[in-house]
Amino acid sequence: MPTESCAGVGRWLRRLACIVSGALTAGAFGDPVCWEIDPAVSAIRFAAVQAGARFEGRFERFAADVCFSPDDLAASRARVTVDVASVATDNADRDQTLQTADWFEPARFPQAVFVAKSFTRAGAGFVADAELTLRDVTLPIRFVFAHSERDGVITLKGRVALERLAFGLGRGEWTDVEWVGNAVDVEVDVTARARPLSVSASPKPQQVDD
Amino acid sequence: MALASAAPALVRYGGVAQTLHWLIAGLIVVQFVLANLAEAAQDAGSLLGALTWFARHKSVGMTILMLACIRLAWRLAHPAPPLPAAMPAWERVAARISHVLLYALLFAMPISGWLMSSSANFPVSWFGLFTWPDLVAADAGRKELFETVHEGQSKGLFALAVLHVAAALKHHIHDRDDVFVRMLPFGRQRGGRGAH
Repeated sequence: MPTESCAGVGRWLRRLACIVSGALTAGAFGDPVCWEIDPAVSAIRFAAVQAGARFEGRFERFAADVCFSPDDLAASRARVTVDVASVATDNADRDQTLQTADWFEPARFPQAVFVAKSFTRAGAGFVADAELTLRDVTLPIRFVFAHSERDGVITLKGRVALERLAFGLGRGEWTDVEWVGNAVDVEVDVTARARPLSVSASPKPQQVDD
Repeated sequence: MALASAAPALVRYGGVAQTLHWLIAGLIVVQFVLANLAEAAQDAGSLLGALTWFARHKSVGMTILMLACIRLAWRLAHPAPPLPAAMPAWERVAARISHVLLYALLFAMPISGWLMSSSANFPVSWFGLFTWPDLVAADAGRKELFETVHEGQSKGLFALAVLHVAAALKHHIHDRDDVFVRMLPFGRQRGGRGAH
């Protein structure tokens, strides 16, 4: 309890200030913990079926502004931007094709954006009702995830099933789903540390000016 | 009868061995055609075309691998009919070597193709019914290596197939022996060079 370390602090006003700031720092009021994601052990992966066989790929660059607390879902938030040019499937031909106008076309649509609209509990885990923008199409999705926090290390494992054609991914000859399936399973695996809190109850995300 | 001992009765390959031989031979021709169609599509810039032809090529390739397993097991259990007594020793050695190489390629070619697909992160499906497990992890450099091996093997197989057909025709037309006929379900016994 933050009050204990404030016991020796004299004058009731200063003691109160100590208790309040201690409570804010410790998130005792359920303030969402903001995340500093470790990119080395975090990944956004996807799997799809091509010519009858499942293959996997990933996005190597993404940034996330996430503040989440299981005890304060209303104040939790998440916004993830993915650099779609970083799509990688361990196959040069396929990677190049995914950069074309038929697929992600990062020259025109450099980012995919995930914005959580609300969080709810679902069994042992959570659901984020979110909006996902791929290319110029924004659709509601339900992102199901498990969250854990231990010794300041936060882990999130989540998944969402998407249909690529709904987002206009795969145009021209690629609209045929016989050889490249419509279903894409996205898997998110994040390890983060709680970002040190300032006294501000609602820390702002790190902004990079461009 | 003295005549019968001089010209032993024609012994053909069995029905199973013949079926496997001609089935695999036909599938190898199909493989060359499919590989060329895939590469032509790739050169024309149609990745979907290449994807579809290569998918069929891989399914047929894995079919050949499975048939090769059956065929090798069958061959080990059922010896080939004897070669003509008049066949020179060097021809026997050459036939032995070329057949061992042909059998080896029936396994090596599908396996190098499978390795190539695995390292290209293009897992092999069998006609969309199931997916074969990846043999190695995806790696662009390794894919280049297996591609070189696979293409080298295809040239070797082509050369051996030409030699194999030429030898069969040489036995049939020039030597006029039973070597070719033993792999056919029909055709009369021939005199052979020993009969002249």
